[in-house]
Amino acid sequence: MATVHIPALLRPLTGGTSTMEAAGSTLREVIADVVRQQPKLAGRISDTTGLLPEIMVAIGDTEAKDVDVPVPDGAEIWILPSIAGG
Amino acid sequence: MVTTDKPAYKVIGTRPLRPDGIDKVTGRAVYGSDIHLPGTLYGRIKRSPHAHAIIKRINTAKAEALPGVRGVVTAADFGGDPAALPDVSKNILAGDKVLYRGHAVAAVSAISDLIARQACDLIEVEYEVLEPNLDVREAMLAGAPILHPNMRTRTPAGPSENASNVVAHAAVAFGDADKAFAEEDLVVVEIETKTQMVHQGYIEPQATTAMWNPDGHLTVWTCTQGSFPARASISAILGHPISKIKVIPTEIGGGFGGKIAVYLEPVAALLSKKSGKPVKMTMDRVDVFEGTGPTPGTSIRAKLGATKDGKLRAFYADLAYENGAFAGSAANYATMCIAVGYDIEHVKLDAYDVVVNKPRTQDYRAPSSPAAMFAIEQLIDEMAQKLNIDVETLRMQNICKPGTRGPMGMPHQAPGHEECVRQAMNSEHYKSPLEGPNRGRGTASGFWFNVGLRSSVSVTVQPDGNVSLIEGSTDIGGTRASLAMQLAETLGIAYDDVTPTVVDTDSVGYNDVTAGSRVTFGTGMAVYEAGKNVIKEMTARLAPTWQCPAEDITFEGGTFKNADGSKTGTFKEIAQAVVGRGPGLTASGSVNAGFLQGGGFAHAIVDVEVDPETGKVTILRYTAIQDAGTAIHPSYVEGQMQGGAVQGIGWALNEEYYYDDTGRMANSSYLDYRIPTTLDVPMIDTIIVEVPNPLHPFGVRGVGEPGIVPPLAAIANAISHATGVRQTQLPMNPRRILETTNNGK
Repeated sequence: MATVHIPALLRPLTGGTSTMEAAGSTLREVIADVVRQQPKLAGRISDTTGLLPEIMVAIGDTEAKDVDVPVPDGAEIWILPSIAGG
Repeated sequence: MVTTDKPAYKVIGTRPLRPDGIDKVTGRAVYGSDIHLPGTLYGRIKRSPHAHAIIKRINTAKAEALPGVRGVVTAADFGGDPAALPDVSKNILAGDKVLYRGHAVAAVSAISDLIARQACDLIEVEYEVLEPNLDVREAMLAGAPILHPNMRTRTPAGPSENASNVVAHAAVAFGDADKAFAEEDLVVVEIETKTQMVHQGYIEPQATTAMWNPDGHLTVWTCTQGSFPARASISAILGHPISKIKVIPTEIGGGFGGKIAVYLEPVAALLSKKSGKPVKMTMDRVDVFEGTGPTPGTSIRAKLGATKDGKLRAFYADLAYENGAFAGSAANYATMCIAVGYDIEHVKLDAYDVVVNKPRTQDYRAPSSPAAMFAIEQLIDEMAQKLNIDVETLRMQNICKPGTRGPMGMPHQAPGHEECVRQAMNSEHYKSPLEGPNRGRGTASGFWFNVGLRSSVSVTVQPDGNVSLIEGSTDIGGTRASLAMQLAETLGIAYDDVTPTVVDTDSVGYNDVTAGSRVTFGTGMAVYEAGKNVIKEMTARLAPTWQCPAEDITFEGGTFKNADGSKTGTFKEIAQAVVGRGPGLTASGSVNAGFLQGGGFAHAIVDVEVDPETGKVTILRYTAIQDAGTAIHPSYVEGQMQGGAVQGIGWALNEEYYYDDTGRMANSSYLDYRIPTTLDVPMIDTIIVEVPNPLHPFGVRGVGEPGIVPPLAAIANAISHATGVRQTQLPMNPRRILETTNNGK
């Protein structure tokens, strides 16, 4: 089980929920469980080709570059909006 | 320069001349408006005189009949999917509504610029004028005129029932700030700030030339911060395949975030398609002010609670950011910056992105962070006064460290804030007394992210052992040099042996924008990878000659060596052998360096003198301190720090979009929109702090943005100490200083 942190920008789709528990041994499975619990997040984190370009996901303090990376039990997962700058 | 720990580099840390320097100082460098093709037509934009109006009708007949006119386009001519980039598209040419004065409604091409301007005057637009929203808080009220009838506020509880100008309400909470404020024995300070829309102030106006060939290939020359994203936008807006569009980036005379978005490019392309001729479009300064993307004005209410011995416990902020005429996420950025420098257990933020009848805002150096820090860094200063603690000591008591909650909730890895403040406290400036009447000293910190994103480069080894570096990141701040230096360091050769060139979108792999302080960092990683690939290929070619397995050959410090050290050769010697007398060698490097790459902190100490009779604030002394991770080219790092400081000084003291009640900007020229000159600021002293970034092979952090963040609050704090009156509104110009320090008399 992993703890998944939802960014403020996506909380309108989760009824304000900012943190949730989700199951899965890979990031793909964890995201699927997140979407199962919060269906409005479908297509807002990943699609069939992988993570959306405007979303990044960090497992612990390491950025996940694709959805097939393993997720250790008890991991803290951060779903984050993209950022650039000026 | 203060370095915590770094390897002994040969090239990194030196101060060589920039490769593009001679072209720029001699005027040979080609900027956006320098493109001249045979048969070029001139394009002009017809803009709205109203801040908020429904377009009832556009009649272009008289313009089209004017001799010399070759084409007129409106939004109806866009061929892309209406769902793709709808706001960008409607911002470039308005559809059924204009949402700010200066909003483009049509465009003309003609054989001369004069005829194009005359034709614009002949385009008849019938408007139904509506009441404008010009204040961010008033636009949030029920009953305010609505810009977008279909817009509903995105809130944690779901979309709002009624149409609203509030794009989104983002709620962020760590711990329980309400409870801490209510139940803990805290000293509390509060502030309500207001800042105005300001412009990036780049010197070169937007300029582009487009040539649509009959075979469907479109070539666009433009001064842009991102040729690849520009290509993607043009493709989406026009519905034209991305593979048939080539964007050639020209030199760029400043951007600071303002040249990320496209404005003229799709319009010039349409006009070229209509006429079969190349079409050149340039903006004048009024176009730039009224028709491009400044940074938002803000209204922030904040309070900070601390124990009597100076432990920060709780922070709350209500942040409203103008997004201009279309939706954006400026306030959300602010939530990620405002409390990031300190270890505060309880943080609660309510952030509102709001549309108003002003230009669609764009990023400006560390977008959203300066206004947020204008609030919290004044609270830090006031808290220190209230607790009778030295302000830097208060910061150090509460400063973020590795493991402290970071900008998005994740723990900081190696924040340089602590070292920045420590160096400030150790500086000669901070230790020197400030004497004299009406003088005050202020300090403040700032933060901005450091993103990586996607970059590609290629490196070709020339027969003489020199190398060519092909890159696609447009060079705004000296990145040709900073990338060439990283390649030279990787290959163990001299900086002068690397020739960097910025090329078009057909000639190198994908590169994201030159923004987010990312090129020296992210493209630097691609350069490092390409360099390693060059070494790998040279090693493979060398192995048969040295009659040993490639695995037995090492490369260190610029020298190839076999296992027993009996055979050695420098990079150049080996290159001449394996490339000079062999097939060509080109290697590439492509990375997706992601989003979160360490971030950067900056700090400032400023001394001011306030004239009690005129209200004029004079900057007596300014020291900028910033964590650069590893300073690749210290002179350019210092330049970025000084440039950010000067822009922040202008923002603090003079700059603002000044509107009348109808939504007309009253100061859309550099005569009336006052940016600082060399006569207005002293030498900006710099202290480069180097806390190497563990996420980069050379420890680099982006340095382009954090320097603009501290000046607003630092100057406000200094004025407060000089006058005894806290400044809560920008700009802190003479009128405002007199009004606040002299009761308006």
